[in-house]
Amino acid sequence: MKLLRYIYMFREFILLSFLFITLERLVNGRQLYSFLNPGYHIFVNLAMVTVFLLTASALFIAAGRDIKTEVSRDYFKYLVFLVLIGLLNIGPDSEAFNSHVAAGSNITPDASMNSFSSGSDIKPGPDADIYNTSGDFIEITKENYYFIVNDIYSAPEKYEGKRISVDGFVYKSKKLRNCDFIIARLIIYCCAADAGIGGFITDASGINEVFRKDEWLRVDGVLRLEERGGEKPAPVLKLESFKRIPADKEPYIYPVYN
Amino acid sequence: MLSVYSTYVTAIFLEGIFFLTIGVIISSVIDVFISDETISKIVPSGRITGIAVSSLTGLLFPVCECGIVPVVAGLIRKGLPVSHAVTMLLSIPVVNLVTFTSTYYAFPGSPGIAFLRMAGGITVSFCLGLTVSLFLEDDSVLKIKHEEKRYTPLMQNNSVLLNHLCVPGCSCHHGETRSKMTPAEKIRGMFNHSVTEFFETGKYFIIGVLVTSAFQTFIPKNALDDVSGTFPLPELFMTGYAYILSICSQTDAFVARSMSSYFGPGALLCFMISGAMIDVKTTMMLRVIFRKRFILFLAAAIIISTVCFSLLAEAVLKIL
Repeated sequence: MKLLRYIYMFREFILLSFLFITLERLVNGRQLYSFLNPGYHIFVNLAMVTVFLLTASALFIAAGRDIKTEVSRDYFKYLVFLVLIGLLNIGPDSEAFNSHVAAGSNITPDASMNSFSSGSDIKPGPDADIYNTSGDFIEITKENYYFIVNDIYSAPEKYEGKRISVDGFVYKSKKLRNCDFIIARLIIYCCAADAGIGGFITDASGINEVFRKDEWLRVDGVLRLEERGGEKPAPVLKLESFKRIPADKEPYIYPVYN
Repeated sequence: MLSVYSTYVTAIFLEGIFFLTIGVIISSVIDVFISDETISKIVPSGRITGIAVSSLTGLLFPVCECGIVPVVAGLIRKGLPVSHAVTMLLSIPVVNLVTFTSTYYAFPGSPGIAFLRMAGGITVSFCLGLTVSLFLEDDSVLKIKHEEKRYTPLMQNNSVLLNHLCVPGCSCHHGETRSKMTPAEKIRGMFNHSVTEFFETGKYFIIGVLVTSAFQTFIPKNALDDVSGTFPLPELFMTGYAYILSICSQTDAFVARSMSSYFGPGALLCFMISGAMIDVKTTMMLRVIFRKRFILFLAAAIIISTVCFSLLAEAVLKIL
């Protein structure tokens, strides 16, 4: 019982220490990429400083207490913190998260990319080569994904007939034809709570292959503009070749604002 | 499912933890180092002017909703009128330059949306601040601790005295001997207060995060989309949707844009204005300051006034 009293005496210090260690693990284990846009990582680093200050203060508070007068009360408050720390330590499972967001999305061919449709908020950064779209072949990578996909949905006619290579996971919607799927990626503007789906409708009619939901592919195809029931023709990738690839460990696309 | 739930919990918690901790530290600095008299000198004395200035505070202090609750709690303890505090709580997450910039970028073809959002934030927070000032008494609004009574010149205009509002178990020596404390004692008092307030406010913040994450995990987004078609007022639907999603006010414009093919600008404004002012997470955090009944009243008043403003804004947009 005495041990429990000591634990209760140091309760704030113990919980804040756990919280600090958890934040440190998330930051140094590069796990933040699974939860937050890198533009916001600075706030987690700053939170480590503030939580450290609070932890040190909690130690002084505990040191000033008398074990004889410390009586247990309001367990609930501390239990809430314990539950939180437990959940923070489960760690990311990007495959399950991809699948969850995709399953809950209501993508239709005409509106699948509406989150990109009006965007001109991204401009090429200093590494301008990866944003070059003047050739007949465009390789879409994680770095240029948001910029190029944005541009394709803003001015699709500029890209018609060009060959495009892109990685993503297979997302199947009931609103697509049987031979179609969307080669998708999750876009995270701030944190995983605002994750949405981005990608292209992919027409696999010429390929004799069954694609499983959520499997990761590198697809190569020619971009066409097709009537898919929307207000204007939708960009559709006519699949020419594909390769199964392992799931990306940092699979999300984070728009970077210049 | 647990890993998806923990992903939401971690993401939403990480997004807000710095603002929460810095909020409780700033609140403690205000509490220990700034006197009641200083606050009463800074705050404009007139009711209308004071509420109007409060509705624009966010332009100087771009803090999100997680950070503003503890700061406003600290200001109330120092005698800030409740009406001013309510106005600040509602306006700061909406009426600030970070929110304005992200909204402007999210709707590059319609810059009017960003301006209307600011205007909505100012209008709704001003009207609700004025309502509180005219019709509600402090003891029906504040969560009062009957431990120590104190009042400031600002509060004398009101019908009741502002009771001591410190967090339970706080050892920061409120009120009585502060002026006699040495600087070292003040700093120690500030950190003691920060830790106690962190656990008190953090409890509500975490419950908010856990509940929001449960909504995000167990209610598929397409279920809400399906319901939206049958809902009589899309504006009303969007306020409810924003309440459940609890997305940070500085990025919710991008989520609103992704729904622009389903909803008109009025409904999107509702999503962005009411969601920034009140959501699951904020409702829990407001428990630190306000009584449950007042929080319910506030939520209903925000929804009604936001819907009215958005309908008006949509009509104006159509005319233009």
